[in-house]
Amino acid sequence: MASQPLPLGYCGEPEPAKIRRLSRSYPRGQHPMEQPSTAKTSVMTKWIPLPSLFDPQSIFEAMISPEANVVTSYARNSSAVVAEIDGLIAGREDESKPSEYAYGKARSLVEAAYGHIKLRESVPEIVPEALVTTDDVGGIRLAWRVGPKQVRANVGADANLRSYIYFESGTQHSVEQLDVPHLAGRLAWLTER
Amino acid sequence: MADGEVDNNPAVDVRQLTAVDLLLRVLAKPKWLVDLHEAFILRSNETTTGLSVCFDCTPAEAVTISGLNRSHGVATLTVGSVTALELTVVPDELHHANIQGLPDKELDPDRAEWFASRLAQAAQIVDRTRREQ
Repeated sequence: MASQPLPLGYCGEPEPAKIRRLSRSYPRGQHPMEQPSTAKTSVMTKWIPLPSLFDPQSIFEAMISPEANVVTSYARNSSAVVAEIDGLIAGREDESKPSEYAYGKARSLVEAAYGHIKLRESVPEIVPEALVTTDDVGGIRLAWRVGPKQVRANVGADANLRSYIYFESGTQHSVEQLDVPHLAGRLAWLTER
Repeated sequence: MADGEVDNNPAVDVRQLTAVDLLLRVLAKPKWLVDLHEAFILRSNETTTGLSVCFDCTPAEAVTISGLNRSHGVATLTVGSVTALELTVVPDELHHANIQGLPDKELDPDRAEWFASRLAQAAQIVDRTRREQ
């Protein structure tokens, strides 16, 4: 179910989750799923990065996407994404530690691709902030989204595992080679107006 | 059995699933709450069995069944939304089933990512409780 757009900073009262019967075996009114959800409040308070007073180059905007279960933030440069990648290699609770191969490749690709975007005058400088996570074998996954457009980069844990870019918009979807020109091109495509 | 069907003859004696039954997917990482498609990419231990889901249980019970040491919530989706994608739901235990037909991202990344998007669209996060066991 799609989340409704909320104004920036909205931290309103929790609203009841839609009630769905999980199975026939639970008496009505006692099902543990039938409890208030604080989903929207949690998302806003936990996951939207705040602007840093000490990093004037980083300017963030945030919105709740009408697409389901997605928060979109925007950053002007690669520093936030690189910081996330650095955080993975430093060891982050709830994340598998990436391989050195994936770490080095992801970091260099992001820095180079964002730099490539900045050089292209026709492309808006602001790209959405990436979701940065790991797979369970030491690869790194990055995901960007603007409305229905999505770009994902999968950096394999080693040279024998697949690295690729996946993109989709509506019914259009495909994979591309993961390299700087393709990643920069897809991020530019993502932010096209 | 053809894609898009529910296996009603599992190895163990479990009830038949119908299109309106809810499947629970335990969320192993907090970032899956931000962008749910990651929850529907097969993990390395699921490539042969299928995507692990639970049914007829509470979120807390689903976490216990999943065997994860730590979890951050649960998403649900209906059996019908899964079979509509021509994937198969195969119950193998009293409260556990596998969604079969999802490709490994190593073998078919385009379809693996596309299915992850569709399943994320169909799913709803119903629980955001961090649990450790």
